[in-house]
Amino acid sequence: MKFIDFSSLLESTPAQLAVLSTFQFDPDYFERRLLRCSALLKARRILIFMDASQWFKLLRQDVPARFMNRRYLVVPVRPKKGVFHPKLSLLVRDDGGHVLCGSNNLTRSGCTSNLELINSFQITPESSDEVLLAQQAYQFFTLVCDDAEQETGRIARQWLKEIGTAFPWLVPDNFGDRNGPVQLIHSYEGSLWDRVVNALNGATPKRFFVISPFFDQDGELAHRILKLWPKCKLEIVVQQLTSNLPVAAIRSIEKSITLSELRNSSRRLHAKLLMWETPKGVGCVAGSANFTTAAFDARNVETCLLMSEAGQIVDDLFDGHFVKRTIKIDEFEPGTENAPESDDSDESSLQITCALLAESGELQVSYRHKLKESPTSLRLAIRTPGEPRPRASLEIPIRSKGSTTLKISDATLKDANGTILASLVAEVGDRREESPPFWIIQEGKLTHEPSGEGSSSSKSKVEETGEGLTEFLEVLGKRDGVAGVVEYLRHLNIRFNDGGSGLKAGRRFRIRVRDPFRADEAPEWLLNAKEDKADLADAIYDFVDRHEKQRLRKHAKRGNINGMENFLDVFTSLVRLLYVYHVRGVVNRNKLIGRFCKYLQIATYGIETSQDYSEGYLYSVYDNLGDADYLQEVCKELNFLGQIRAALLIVQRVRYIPGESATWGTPPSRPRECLPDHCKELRESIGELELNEPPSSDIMKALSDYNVFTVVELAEIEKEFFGQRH
Amino acid sequence: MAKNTQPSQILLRWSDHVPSTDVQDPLGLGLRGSTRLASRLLYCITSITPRARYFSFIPWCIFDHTEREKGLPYAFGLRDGIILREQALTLGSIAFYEGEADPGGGLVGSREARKWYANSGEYADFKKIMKKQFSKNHAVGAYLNSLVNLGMFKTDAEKPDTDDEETQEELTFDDIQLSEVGIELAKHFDRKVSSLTATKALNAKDRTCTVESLKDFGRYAGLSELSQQGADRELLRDIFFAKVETKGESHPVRRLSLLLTMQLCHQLSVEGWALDEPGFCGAVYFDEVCNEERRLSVSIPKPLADIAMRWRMFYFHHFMAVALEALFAWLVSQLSNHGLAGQTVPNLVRQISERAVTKQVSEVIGVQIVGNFGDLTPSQLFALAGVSVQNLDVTASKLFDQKLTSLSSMAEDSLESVIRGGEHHFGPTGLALPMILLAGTLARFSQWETTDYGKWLANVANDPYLDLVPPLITTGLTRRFSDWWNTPFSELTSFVLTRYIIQQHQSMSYEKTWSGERCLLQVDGDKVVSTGGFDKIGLGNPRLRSSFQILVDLGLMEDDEESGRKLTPEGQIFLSVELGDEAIT
Repeated sequence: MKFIDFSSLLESTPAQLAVLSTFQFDPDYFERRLLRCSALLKARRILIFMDASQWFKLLRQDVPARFMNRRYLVVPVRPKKGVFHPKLSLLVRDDGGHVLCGSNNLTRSGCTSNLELINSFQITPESSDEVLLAQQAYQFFTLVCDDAEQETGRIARQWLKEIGTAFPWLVPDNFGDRNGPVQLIHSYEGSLWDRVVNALNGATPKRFFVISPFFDQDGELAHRILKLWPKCKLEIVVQQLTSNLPVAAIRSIEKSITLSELRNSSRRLHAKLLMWETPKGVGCVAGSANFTTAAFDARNVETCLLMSEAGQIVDDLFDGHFVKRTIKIDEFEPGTENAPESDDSDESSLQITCALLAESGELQVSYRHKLKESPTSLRLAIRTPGEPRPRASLEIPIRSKGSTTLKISDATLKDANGTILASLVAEVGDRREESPPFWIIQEGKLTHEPSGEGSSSSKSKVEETGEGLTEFLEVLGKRDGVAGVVEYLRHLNIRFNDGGSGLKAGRRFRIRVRDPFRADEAPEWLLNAKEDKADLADAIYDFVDRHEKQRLRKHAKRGNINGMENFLDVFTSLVRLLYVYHVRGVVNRNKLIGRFCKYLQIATYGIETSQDYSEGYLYSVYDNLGDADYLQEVCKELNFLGQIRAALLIVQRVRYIPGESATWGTPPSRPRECLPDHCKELRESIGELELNEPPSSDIMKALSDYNVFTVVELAEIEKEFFGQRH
Repeated sequence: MAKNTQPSQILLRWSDHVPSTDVQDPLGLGLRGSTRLASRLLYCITSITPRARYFSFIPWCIFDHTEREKGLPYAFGLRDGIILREQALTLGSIAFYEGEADPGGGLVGSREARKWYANSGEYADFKKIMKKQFSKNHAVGAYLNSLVNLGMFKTDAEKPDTDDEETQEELTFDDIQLSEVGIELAKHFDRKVSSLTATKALNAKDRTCTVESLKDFGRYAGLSELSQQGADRELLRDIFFAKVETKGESHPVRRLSLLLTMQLCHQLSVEGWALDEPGFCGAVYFDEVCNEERRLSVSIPKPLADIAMRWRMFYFHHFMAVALEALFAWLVSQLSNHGLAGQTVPNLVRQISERAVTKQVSEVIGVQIVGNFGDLTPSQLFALAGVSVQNLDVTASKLFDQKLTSLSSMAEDSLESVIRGGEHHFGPTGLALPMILLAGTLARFSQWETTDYGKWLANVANDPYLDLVPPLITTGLTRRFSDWWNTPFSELTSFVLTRYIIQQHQSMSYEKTWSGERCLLQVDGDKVVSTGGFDKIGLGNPRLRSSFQILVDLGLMEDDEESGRKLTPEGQIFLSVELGDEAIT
């Protein structure tokens, strides 16, 4: 039998909605491994349902989680009785879906070391049996929302509803009697035991076969089976020192029981399976249910697959990789771990049960305290991971249990682009008590729209051509703030392509000094209150200057006509970025003018001053080609001169200040009188290269393509520059 | 976009697992802590670059190849050209020492070269020798980064019209160009060796010379020979002591570290002590060196006070790392006794409240503990050593300096020594002792926490989740317990094991490999299971050892068999002059 790597099952098309459920959850493992799988990495929305008592336990552990409640939503579920124990996942994709139902928790041991049983179904809307499974899973998760914590449950319910609307095949009209060879059964529908008995369909089982790490301490289910079917044989697979099978409790029925020890495994047995054999055939249930009454009598919330014709696949489990050996009951030494139980013994005297940050900046907090003395003050402390002291501390009503809505100032969370933590701080006499931190749910960031950073197409388009850069920054800034934009700009390189030999493979050899020196400054994580140090303007200047040097000047030096399109891509991206952020007050006017003029020079005739030198792209191309007609043809095709002229109009417009008083010469009285030297040189260059001036329609088209001017502004420009032109 | 290539249905399949592989630096305290600190303090001197001569030899290899070989029809590429010369140096040195390795060590490939030498004839044919390869890892690989950082090559930034990652014209190793200082250094080296027969043979078509001529090459180009003579020595001194113009602000820091080392070496040797790594630690951490018989106060000259304090920060991290790695080693050894059944953290921690632990800890710290150790708070425990303060503040921290001097039974160096001794590794006391070391280190550190030095140390942590340094741990403990100084050891231990050992180790495994295989701990429910053993506690200070050797190579320090490590007369003058310059600065 081939083993299955659980994470490999998540390497598929990104999910529109991924819903996963687990008893225990390890966010560090999830983020480092599963969230990097392609189905989740670019998933639009991710929901994790987990047991509420395990959730509160998690909160007390200072677990490193960088994306929790920001990239994916954890929904604590507190069933009316028992524990929330399913290990079911439903991934809904544009082309279908995926249902996973097994025994593994979403923990490191559950996914990488324990011996678990896994079942997986790829679903296309046309495959009726599998679609039924997806529908059953969908229905299960809808029911889970009723047991979920209020606010997270609301979001989960809404997401499920939306996905059901978007993918109607998920929503069953009525299951009726539709049953495939494999059915999803869960304890919201009643006890699993009843489903097993129903599946027997009146036949008398000859044999039951059990794999389970946990058993009732009175061996109830084993007794129940032998009471119902006294001639039935029961084989139980155990693992020494881990399975907690109660030897004493089954002593009275030992004649009907065969114990099989799992021999050659260095992995903890956590799989769960109950198989039966009747004269009519072999069936089984496999999933999250241990061989306990809590699991089978619907005290816990469990999910399993009910399968018919399962004889061969169960036999295949012990085909050589794993060997079981029959042992006497006395030879078995049970483990000490107990089956999962509801743990309501909340150690924390202070607890945040939910903290939800709306896009409006309102923070809705639900909390409780069990302090013996009433606190003199109760505050909500907000910080990012690593900050020793809160960046904000907000007073909240002193109640033993309550909810409140707080307004968080923009400044407080301005640079908090990752996880945000909240904790409850109580002053009790001269003591100060603090609750475990809670990962604030950042509702606005939980959905990754295709146009956002999660969209590889828009991102790669920016990297390829620069197209859509400002829009992309817009989305990024909205989500990750100025710091996110700065960080992105600092690392963005629009591709260079001059139509040469293409990219060379292999690792680049670099010689770059790396100086580890750091000034004696507290790192960001240590600072009490952060200031917004991200200098967007600097990042923009850095970005455009880098591209001027490494792209535009490089093209100008090489003069390859095949690079004209890439030259224009970079040129227009820089022009647009500078202009848009100039309008927003970020880019200084003079810095814009200086740069635009340089770009125009590099695009055409070059720069030659005592401080600076660069070839001009058009001149270099002309020199290389020696064919003005061909150059004209390509320029026309790409509207090269239209773009250049458009950039000149923009910078003239920026340069113009009505009523300006000049210290030298006559001040311009209108935009088109600005920068006369540059206008002249551009005109002369075009003439010298035997090229035709672009018609105004080409220039206006280029201006319009920048997509930064309104219709009115475009009309004004046209009137100003072309109204009297001819 | 990933395609769905999975089978449409998978029924009842066993899950696969990720097997554990060998683990080093299990908590990331080395690479993400002490290595970062040491790289700031001894920039360009690493644990694998201990020989100063390679710093001039490799530039010479490039120079020699460029000037005398490149362009010839039979020329090697630059990398092979360097390796060829490296092999010649190794063989030449072995030949010069009549079949033995260079006494200072660090001669790359010397073991294989000795075997070759033992069976060699009269001639060395480097065409054949090149096929043999004395070492898988060549010196150029080890020293290249340091040479780059020292400014021996023209950098990307200095070359015009550079480009970025994907689009730049591919640079290859052959495009390396020596900088001005690199050329100068190479030329200094060249003066001694250019006329040698072996040097000429290396560039000739048949690449063959006599072993005798190689011996000559070893005599002039050898690693240890630098300390005695060599036109390159002075310039190397200037480079290591940041007296030539270099880019970056870390070069003066290295200079001060080397001066501090020399100063301590001199101060100790005058009093009959030999400077070694523990001595260096004692001097900067406790302001004294001592052994069981005597104690010597160390006085740090003012110009070196700042660098000494930064080294002190290094050792705060070091002692914290020893404590945490000892906890890790103890944990995996304890868990291995429980096999697949594993054990819960509360059950493991419960052991420190056993009577035997109290007794053994009392013996180690030399003070009788009343009650059980698990119930004691750090405040109560250290009160037994005279640090009797209720609140952990600057006063308490200073009291640590007064009361817990080097090698006193509860001082960090003593506890490290006991832990490394391994006597308690397999029993519950092996859990208690690292916790005492951790608490003591953090308490002593507290006076520096808000100072520039504390910030400098904190700055090492780029990632507040993963990079454990003392300020980060004190922050974590304070957040968890409010007043950890007055929290019982049992509670502290439980948290430290869970957060800084188990969680940290699991997180680190994903920093090391994508699959997270370098992991010895699994957590299943409440149970923790170990899948291997670990006993390499603490990484020490390997760069310091390299710096000792560099100073010896530069002829400033010497290891005398009788009187131990001391400054050479030239070293004393050099130190005096440089300290004078520092005082003026």
